[in-house]
Amino acid sequence: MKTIEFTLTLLYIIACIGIGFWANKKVSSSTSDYWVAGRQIGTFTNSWALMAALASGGSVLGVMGLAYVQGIPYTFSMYAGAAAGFPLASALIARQMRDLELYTVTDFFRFRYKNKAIELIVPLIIVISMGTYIIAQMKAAGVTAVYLLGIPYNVAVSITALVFIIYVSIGGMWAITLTDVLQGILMVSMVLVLAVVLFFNFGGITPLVAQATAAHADLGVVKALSPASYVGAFVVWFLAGCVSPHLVMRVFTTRDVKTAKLSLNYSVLIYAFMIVFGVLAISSAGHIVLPNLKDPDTLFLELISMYLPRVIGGFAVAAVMAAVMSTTDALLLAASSAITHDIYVKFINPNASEKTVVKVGLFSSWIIGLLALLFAFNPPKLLTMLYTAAIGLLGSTLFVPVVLGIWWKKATPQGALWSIIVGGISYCYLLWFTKMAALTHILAALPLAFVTFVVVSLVTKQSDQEVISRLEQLHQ
Amino acid sequence: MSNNKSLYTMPKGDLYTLICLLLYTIITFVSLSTKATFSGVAVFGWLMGLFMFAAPIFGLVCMKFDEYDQQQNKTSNISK
Repeated sequence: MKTIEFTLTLLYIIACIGIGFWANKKVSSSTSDYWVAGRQIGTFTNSWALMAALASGGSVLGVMGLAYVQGIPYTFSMYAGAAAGFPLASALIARQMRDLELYTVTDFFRFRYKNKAIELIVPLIIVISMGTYIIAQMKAAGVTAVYLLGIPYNVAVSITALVFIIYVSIGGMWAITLTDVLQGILMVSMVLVLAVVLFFNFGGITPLVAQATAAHADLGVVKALSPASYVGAFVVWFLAGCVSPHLVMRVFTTRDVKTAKLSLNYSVLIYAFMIVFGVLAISSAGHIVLPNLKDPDTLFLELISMYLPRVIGGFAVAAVMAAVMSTTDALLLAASSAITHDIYVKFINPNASEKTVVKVGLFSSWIIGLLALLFAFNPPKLLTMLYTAAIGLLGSTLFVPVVLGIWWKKATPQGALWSIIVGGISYCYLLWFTKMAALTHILAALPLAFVTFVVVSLVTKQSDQEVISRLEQLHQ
Repeated sequence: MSNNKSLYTMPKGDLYTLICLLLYTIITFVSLSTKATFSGVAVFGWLMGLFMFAAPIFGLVCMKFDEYDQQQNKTSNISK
């Protein structure tokens, strides 16, 4: 019986649900509090919450395994894309998105393009992408709990799912924000504690890395992948900060533009410390002390058990759960808001009261969460492909109409609609029906979406003068 | 900040952030062609690792630049 691990995990779960019940008092009758935490979140809280939303199970377990197998250069090129994407979002969209006082990404399309087809397609793309992402995260949580707690996979997935569905559904954005701060601090601390211990044991950063690359040269070299694979890995995540709803919604929660921009940049600094020092220490030490590891994703957990006291191992379980939950809760709220705010309120019941909307939000969180749980019981084999495809699909369809919609006066509704269609179809076609190198599909789909947007916008009716005037105000 | 052009004018700080991100990205990907290493890790790998710190620092410094620029504009408007 792994008493310490169980006790610490239980305490962590109780803390998350407790925060959910506390937050419920604030959000029970206000859509603003439920979806965007009343737009009262400050820089410190939002920085940690953003970092936690970005850093999923992949940023604690997967990244170490990826570096162990594919080498440090490839891993850093993928994660640097995510890191550089936040300053990009800070420069391109943060000011305007925050000042528009939106609830969802679809709200931006509604304001800028006023087109019913777009208003229906965008939330559908968001629900599909976020749903796929949630299933991948649930599977990661289940595998971790099986490894660390020794409980059956289906039990582990169910417990994890029920915990975050409960606190998201009852506590909305307030619960997510506060739990994300707790989860962010927990996961960063665990990775950095292990990294420091490893650096100390091996005589510092460069001696450890040099020793590892001497033992296994592939760890440090640029592999024989095409340069397009490196560029594709970078670009997919570079664009995510501007369009992925679970990240963009954090911009909506901030108390002002300065807070939004500062927190986008501070969150990446925290993330950089965790990823860079974590990868350098853990993947390097792995090649020295565990050169023939069968399942690279367990590297972090194996080294924790070798180098840190057992009580810390208990915190490691909670830290991995935290990494998974902090992303999944934000994904769940993004998907729930797409159904409730973008489809139910705008298409089905426009006169719904705030209390009704909050209740529908709670109900849709349960439906999406339980559906994802059903898929997670028997996850598709190509889950990693689907999850990466989900982020690539968001970039290929939404990046061009969002960014040009903010910065280009001649952007039109028809341009946006056809750009979304061409970007989405070309991306899916290239992904499923061609043999292009992994992660390179966006490099073809994005330019196609861009050209379509510009050409169609130039030959179709301009946006209303009212929209252009509001845009002018936003840029003053 | 709007004008008669079809693109809205970007605040200088945001524009400099974009330029820094773009330049750093190009330089880093050009280094893919070199086989030089440091402590056994390709220069490309180190540059990408450094990028994770450099990108937000570009963003923060350029934000400060914008604030300074706005203060200067206010001061010069008052003195006029």
